[in-house]
Amino acid sequence: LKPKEESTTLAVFLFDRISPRHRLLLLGAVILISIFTSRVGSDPKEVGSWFIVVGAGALMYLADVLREVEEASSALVVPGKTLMRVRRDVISARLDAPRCGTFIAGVAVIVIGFGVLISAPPK
Amino acid sequence: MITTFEDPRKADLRERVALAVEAAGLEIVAVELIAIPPDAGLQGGILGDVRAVDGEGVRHAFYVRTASDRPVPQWIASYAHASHSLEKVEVHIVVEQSSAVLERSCRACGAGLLQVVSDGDYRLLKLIDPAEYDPQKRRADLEARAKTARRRLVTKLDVNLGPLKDKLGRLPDLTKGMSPDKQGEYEEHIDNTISRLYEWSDEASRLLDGALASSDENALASAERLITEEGNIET
Repeated sequence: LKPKEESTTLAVFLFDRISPRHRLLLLGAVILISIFTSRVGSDPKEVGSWFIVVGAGALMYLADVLREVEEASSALVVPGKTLMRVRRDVISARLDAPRCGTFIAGVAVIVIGFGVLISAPPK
Repeated sequence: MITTFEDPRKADLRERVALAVEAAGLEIVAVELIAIPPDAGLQGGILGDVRAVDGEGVRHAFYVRTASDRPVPQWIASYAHASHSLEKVEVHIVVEQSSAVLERSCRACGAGLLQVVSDGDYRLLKLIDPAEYDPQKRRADLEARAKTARRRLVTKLDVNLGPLKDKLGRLPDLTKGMSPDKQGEYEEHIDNTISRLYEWSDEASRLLDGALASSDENALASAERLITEEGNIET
């Protein structure tokens, strides 16, 4: 009998790489929010900035979820289970479809926001 | 004379020891097994690589050791300890170079320690006198060491068990969202680790009890090694 292979979805693979760098994700999101909130403050009609603020907010939320994943993974490491394997188990359990969707939507909204800002006519 | 399969270095040292013993005024005697009382629980008797008798009729058994950085082997230590219950018998370890480990083990088992020096003639330098041996002090030292080892064992067990028990308590929260099978897998891993720690602790405790019961230095050393080197959680 062949041992049952554990399948790794693309989402698990992706979050497995992002999760240890969740602080970097948080830092990036905070920087974006800081810059584009001030731009929204000076020009509330700038749609692109709104998009980036919303997208960065979504990434901040995800960074917090990934922090929880890292904490749970570190606490769950036991003999016979490496940190990497435990992290994948925790990611599979906690990053369900809505959270994956939030991440994709967040990134997409940020990209759209930049697109809108770049394509907007200069003032 | 080289005994069959004897290390040539040891044979050479034995020859020099024999010359030094003679130079010290002792009379070398032929093979004579010094019987040990049956209640000592030892088989055979004290033989020694070189045997001699001094002017007061004290029989000396010299065990030649080329490995001076190692403690006295258990069988010699047992004979040295038993020799103190015999009349006019002394057991000595003879080396070319001494070491702290060897000196400690000689003091612990009651063997004398002599160093062969050469300054034209071969001489035996007395490093430890078997008369220094005090069985009660040895017992007290052994008990103190066992007590320290047991304290270390309990501390190490507590330190390792604490986080595991905490982990077990937080398991439902940590494995939130996982399938029951997966949760069971983690619980089993933690349970197994805890069981292994208890087994290690029981084994070390049994060894300590045995070492104390038989006043066995080597068993105590094994228990100390088991406590220090094992009982760590490997991930």
